[in-house]
Amino acid sequence: MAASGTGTFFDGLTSVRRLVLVELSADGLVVRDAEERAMLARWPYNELDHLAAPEGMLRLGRAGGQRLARLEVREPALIAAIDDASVPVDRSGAAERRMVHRIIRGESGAACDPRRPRRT
Amino acid sequence: MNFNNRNFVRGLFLIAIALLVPLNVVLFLSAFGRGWLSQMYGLLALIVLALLGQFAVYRARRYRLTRTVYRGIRFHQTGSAWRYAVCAIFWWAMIGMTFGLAYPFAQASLERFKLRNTYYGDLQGHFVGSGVRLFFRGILLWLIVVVPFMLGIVVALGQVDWAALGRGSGDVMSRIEAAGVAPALVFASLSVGWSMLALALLYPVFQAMVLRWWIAGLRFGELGIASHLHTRTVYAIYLRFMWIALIAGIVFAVGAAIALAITGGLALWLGKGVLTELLSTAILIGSYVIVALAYSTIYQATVKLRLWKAAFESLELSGLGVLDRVNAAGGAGSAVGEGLADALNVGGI
Repeated sequence: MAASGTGTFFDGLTSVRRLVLVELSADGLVVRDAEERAMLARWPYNELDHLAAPEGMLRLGRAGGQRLARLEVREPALIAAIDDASVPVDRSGAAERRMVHRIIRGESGAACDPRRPRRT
Repeated sequence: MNFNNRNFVRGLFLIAIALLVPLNVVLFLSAFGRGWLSQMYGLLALIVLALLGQFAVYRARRYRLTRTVYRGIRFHQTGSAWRYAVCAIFWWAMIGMTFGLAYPFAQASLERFKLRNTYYGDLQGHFVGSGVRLFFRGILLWLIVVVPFMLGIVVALGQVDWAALGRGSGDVMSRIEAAGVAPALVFASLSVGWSMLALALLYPVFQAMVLRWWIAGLRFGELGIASHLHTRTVYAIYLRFMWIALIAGIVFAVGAAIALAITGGLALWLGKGVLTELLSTAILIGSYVIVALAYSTIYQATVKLRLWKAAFESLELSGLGVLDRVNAAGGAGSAVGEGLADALNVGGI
């Protein structure tokens, strides 16, 4: 399991693209500037928001956050490690399929389920 | 796109229940009243719903923009939706009065309004597409589709001897024959048929042309966009839609035959009565809803989605450096506009 890797970070305040180091700590993702090593963000695993992204990329945000910071990861090993560590991150799409089945069955609350991964 | 279903569903129900239901009731009841209100009912309903529709298009665009995030920065939209609605109604009236000739100028004007009120963070958009340029690109299509239609109708109306038609002597058929209605109808049918055929065959050309023109007119600061969307790509999309629609049509024809057999069988099994009528009506309404939803879904999935994908993949961007200097601005918009747009079945970009 990869405990760290590289990614691209957008802080939600400016559109500047930052190369970052991504570390998997015990309680969440730690995002550090690749050069200065300053901590840019710490996101608990249970607050990760799995966002839509092209094939081969994992795009994350922080659920419920006021800022729209984004983290993009392309390293397969790191993606797999984040997927293992975080419940909201679900690359298999199983949660999405469950939600679609609930809607088809006519469960009225399904579309409003806050636990489902958001369509982005 | 950062889209929240809860907001959307809330907006849809809020609008449908709080606004559209009372409005439709008022418009419906006004038709039964006396005086000028009942006489103007149709026109009044058309104006109110058209205004609301355009208002919804603008507000829905705001909602979608504020939920479109790129590089962690949100898009947003300013400007009055009512002003946009009035401008849009004015331009649609102009399009109607000029038989479509005003369309390029309407599009250019409305896009300029929308884009100058569109922001990516603190970067303002603007639209540089020229109505005159689109007019000259599309005039040949207009000449092929609209002119034969108009000429056909004018000539057909001119062929009819209206005085002979109005004379009281003879039976109706002989008066119609004497007035020359039959050749006029043939002429009108041929010209309408030509225009419909030309419209069906050339619509993908028109759509590709407008999409390329629109994309080429978009600007965000120094960021410029061009499109290399091929007309043959749009034809391929429509051809695929037609095949799928044809297959769906065959399936629905079989389904309709079964539904008719069931409704016929109900009359035999239950006898003629209220229950049979209710069940038959329910089956027919259900069939209609299924067919309408299916074709709408097929159109969205095979035409709209693929057209956007093809257009997006054909983009060529210039001046990308400006994207590194954008600061966040604007907040999330309310879902009311999106709900209204969906309740009125209008959409906008």
